[in-house]
Amino acid sequence: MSGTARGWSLAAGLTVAGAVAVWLATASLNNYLLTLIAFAGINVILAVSLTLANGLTGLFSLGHPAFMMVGGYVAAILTFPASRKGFMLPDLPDWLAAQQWPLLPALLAGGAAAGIAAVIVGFPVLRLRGHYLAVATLGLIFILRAVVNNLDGYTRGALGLSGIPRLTDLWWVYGWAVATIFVCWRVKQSSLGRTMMAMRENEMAAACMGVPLARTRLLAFAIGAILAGIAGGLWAHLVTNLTPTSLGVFLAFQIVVMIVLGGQGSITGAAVAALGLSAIANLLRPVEQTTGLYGLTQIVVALVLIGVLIFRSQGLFGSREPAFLQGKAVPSLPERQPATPDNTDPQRGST
Amino acid sequence: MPPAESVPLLAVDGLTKRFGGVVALSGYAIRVAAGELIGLIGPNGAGKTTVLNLLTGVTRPSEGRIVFRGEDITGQRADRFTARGIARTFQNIRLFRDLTVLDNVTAALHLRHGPALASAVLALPAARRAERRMAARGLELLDLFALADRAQARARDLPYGEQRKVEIARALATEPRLLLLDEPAAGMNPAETRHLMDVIRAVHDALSLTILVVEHDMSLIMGLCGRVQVINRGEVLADGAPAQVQADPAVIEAYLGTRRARAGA
Ligand SMILES: Nc1ncnc2c1ncn2[C@@H]1O[C@H](COP(=O)(O)OP(=O)(O)OP(=O)(O)O)[C@@H](O)[C@H]1O
Ligand SMILES: [Mg+2]
Repeated sequence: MSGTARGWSLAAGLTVAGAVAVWLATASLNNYLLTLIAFAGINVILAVSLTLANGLTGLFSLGHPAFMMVGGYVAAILTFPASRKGFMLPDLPDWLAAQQWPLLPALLAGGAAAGIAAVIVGFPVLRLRGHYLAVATLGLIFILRAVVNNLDGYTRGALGLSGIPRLTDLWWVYGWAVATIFVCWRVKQSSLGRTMMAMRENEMAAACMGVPLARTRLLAFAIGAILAGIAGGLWAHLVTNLTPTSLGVFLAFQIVVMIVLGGQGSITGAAVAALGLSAIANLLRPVEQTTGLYGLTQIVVALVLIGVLIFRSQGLFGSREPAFLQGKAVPSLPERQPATPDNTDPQRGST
Repeated sequence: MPPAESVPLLAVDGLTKRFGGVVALSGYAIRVAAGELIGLIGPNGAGKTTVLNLLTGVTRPSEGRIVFRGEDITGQRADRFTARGIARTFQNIRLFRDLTVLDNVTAALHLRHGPALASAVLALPAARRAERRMAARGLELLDLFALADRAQARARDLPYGEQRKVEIARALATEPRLLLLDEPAAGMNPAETRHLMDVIRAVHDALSLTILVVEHDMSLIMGLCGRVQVINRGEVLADGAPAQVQADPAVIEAYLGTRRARAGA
């Protein structure tokens, strides 16, 4: 299938082009700009991973920051210098206090913890639909905040963890963004992704075609949560401190804006919108400071959102990917006989 | 009654469904032998769709038992019913509207032919082969309905009659033993209905499928079915050969009764 081969070489080409861009950036830009770009990359991971639940499966979840918190705290506790961990986090068992992990296994552990958390909360929460699900997943953020506050022997509670080693750089973010896009893209193009979209289109019909609703829903939710957990770990090791309020409702709103702008279910759209919104926010920040118009960014973002919802409610890309990225050969029947003429119009509607 | 010498494909007893105070179905029973093509008829609101909803696990019965291929599957989830081999179409079309026609069918092929998640994500050869097989099989199914050339159209963009056919193709993709059709000819003109009848007959013969079809179009029922069951107000009124059922006074009364009531309304 040359279509597939073309898709793969295109993907490889884009990945290399991105790597060259990252290399040029690290060679020429100052630390401040590099950090801004890294944040934009983390936003890409967040928006793209939320696409699985919100866009493909039609579950409107606002819970991403909660899973980031799980992943961020787990990863940060694991990488924290063992020399200081003992007295800063007195409730940690000795074997854990003695650990000082490199970033990669810590990120993976954080992602796994977030995934487990998603499965546990998913059982009750994913019975809900629409607005109820949105509110319940928003509640997860507050529940997690309370948990972190109360486990202060492990997390330093409201004080937050500070002095987390600054292990995240642009290369780490880029690598995970590529991995996230790859995983989500493959899921979307796979047979399983098709059943997720079928659920989004019509749950009852999907169930009657043999799609196990609860399991499929949980899978979409958990894969997204694992990636959000990893993004949380990257975030913590970029910002170097993490408090119970670092990752909250405003972030949940921003991520949702990104996928609504991009088009619910479009991976390309989510990635483009995440980069675009991050750029707008960073370009407007100096304007805010020189003019004293603080809050300008939020207003512009909200206006962009309202504008898109009014004039292009399906978002930039709808639920699709641009054709040139699909690289998918259109299947056809071998040696078809001419179809029987059957182009008469329907006459009446159903009840 | 169907021949009793073998275990029936489907054995339903005492099926009752209440919605609050409304009794939609009461003590419904049927035995279906493998290979039958049965019509289920009755006036509006008789409970036909309720029967289909119960037989596909979409709703749970208030009372009664559903035994399919010797296994009691009462109370299981809808996807388990499908996995056991019961598929259906919907009276009010329920296609995956924003997906392509082909994706509607391949989504239903996932049940029996879908690759595992890990191999799909890693794009292993097994997964790619499975995807190719599913696309090819999906096109074959669409071709049964002369719809292969619409494979890449969005389902919502098809005319009504074609959407009904996609629904049947999609149901066949789950590889059922028993196919339940809820008013498949609704919205079709006589020519389309005749084509539909040919296709139903063809899949019945070719796939050795057992079919239960709900329909108001009597020409379809009489032309297709070897056996007709009539229900009215949630109860079975008659069950037998088409000619015999047509002559049954209780059936005539039920239909005339509703016609009179409707005329009076
Ligand atoms: N979800 C529901 N809640 C309440 N009542 C219901 C529900 N579904 C069906 N009913 C009632 O049950 C009865 C049978 O309905 P059903 O849809 O099975 O009839 P039907 O034979 O399919 O009719 P039609 O020919 O109009 O499709 C009707 O009185 C209907 O109002
Ligand atoms: Mg009905």
